[in-house]
Amino acid sequence: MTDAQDLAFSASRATPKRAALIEVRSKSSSCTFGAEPQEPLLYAALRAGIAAPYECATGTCGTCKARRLTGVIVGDWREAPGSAYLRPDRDEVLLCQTRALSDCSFEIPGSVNLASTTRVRPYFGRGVIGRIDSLTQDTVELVLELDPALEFDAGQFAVLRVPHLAGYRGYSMTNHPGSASQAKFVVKRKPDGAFTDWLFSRARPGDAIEWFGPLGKAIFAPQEQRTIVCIAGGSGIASIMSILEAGCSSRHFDHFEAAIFFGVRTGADAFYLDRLQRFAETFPHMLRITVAISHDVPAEDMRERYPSLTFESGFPHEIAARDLAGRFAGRVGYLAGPPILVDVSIRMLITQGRLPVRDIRYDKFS
Amino acid sequence: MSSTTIDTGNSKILRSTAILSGVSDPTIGNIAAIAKPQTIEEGETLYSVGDPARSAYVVAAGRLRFILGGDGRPAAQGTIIRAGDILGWAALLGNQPRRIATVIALEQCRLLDIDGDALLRSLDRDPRAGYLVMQRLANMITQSFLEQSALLNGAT
Repeated sequence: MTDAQDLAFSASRATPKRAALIEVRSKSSSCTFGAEPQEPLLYAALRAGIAAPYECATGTCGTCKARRLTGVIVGDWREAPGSAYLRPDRDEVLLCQTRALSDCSFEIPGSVNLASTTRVRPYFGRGVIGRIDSLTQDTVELVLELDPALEFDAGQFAVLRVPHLAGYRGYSMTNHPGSASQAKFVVKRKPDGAFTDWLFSRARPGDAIEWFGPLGKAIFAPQEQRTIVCIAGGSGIASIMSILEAGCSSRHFDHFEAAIFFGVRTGADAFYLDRLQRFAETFPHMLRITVAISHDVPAEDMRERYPSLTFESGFPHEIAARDLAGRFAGRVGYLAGPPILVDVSIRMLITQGRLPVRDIRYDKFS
Repeated sequence: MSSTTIDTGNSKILRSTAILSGVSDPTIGNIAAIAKPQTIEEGETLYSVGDPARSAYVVAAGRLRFILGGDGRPAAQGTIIRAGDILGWAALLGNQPRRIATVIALEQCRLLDIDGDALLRSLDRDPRAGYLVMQRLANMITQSFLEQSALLNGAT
């Protein structure tokens, strides 16, 4: 199958018929790659194995900023939040929201090394909805049947798109990594979110969804043989579930301790407790899972129903700071969830945990 | 460029910085004398997480991006720093010897690099100015804490 045949999105605009040749250079390296007409340039670069800078891959963070030097381009989302970091008068664009209408060249600021060290290059695929299971009032588990299978590492995410809605949205896989013909995602309903409005009200099993992945650098690798601390808020638990699956199946937690802090607003917002309980029961001395409830007092019946889990009041990073005081050394930190929770958890791990930056892993794509 | 010219230019930039508003001319002059003009190019890193927090910086021109953590990753809020802003104020706090964020220039920027210890000595000699600056620093930290709390309360 050629790269062009791999592409799985629908063209909605007049576009050139052949792939454009794209040249990207930074102060320290340069590279060229082909980009299909309907393909965001960031995805084309990543698909070609180029380490173009990115974080969210969906127009929010601004990390994939570049300056156009030559060529004709089209922007897909002028109001993207990441545009705040651009100077349009200097032809600056977000590569994740830009497509090429001709051969182009771009400059990436700084001394970015464009040589990729990624184990699996991301690729496009199709999927159909297998199931949509309700987890809470505003959160569902989306099960996709994939073609081709998605090969990924624990902690990674993919971007999803439905053919009739513009743009991709990022979600972490919750299931066991490897080469999966089925992927599970946690999706929280967003106010006025076109994708989640569709998913929560009109989507049905069999509906088509296109995907691009795997993405993200917050990867858990059992072979690193490290103790870990995971701090997640709300739907951010998705990537931590994948890490727990990988750690359990590899028996990593026989030898290396893990502390998991799962933050929710109220007891009614908590989910996956049955699965978390099973993980904790499997490794009762090495795996400690705390559900941190920030706006409520944990109900006594939750403690009775899930005796292997710990329930506490407060934000997860605060409880982690207290519970692990003096015991952060040597851990790798995995953070997921709302960006503000990731921010304050980073501060906590640096200032109180004294963790080196290289041992704090997260992907912000909310 | 003569030092007098630098100081005059520095003084003008410092007077436009909110945290130094109302500080007397002699003290502004003293701070201007210790301030070192610096230019950094687009994409260059001013400082990184873990670096010693020795200097505070006043932005004279250009925009910079404030990034929490490593790897050039974005923070959720307050990510763009503009002319008239001060950054790196951890250099004024005795118990915060290291940076907890990374700052990268979004375009060519002109800055004043002010040694934290030297700035504190200047403020020691002018208690009224010291009170003003520390009051504003406390307000900035409080504001940051309140914004963070509000965001956290709304997010999880």
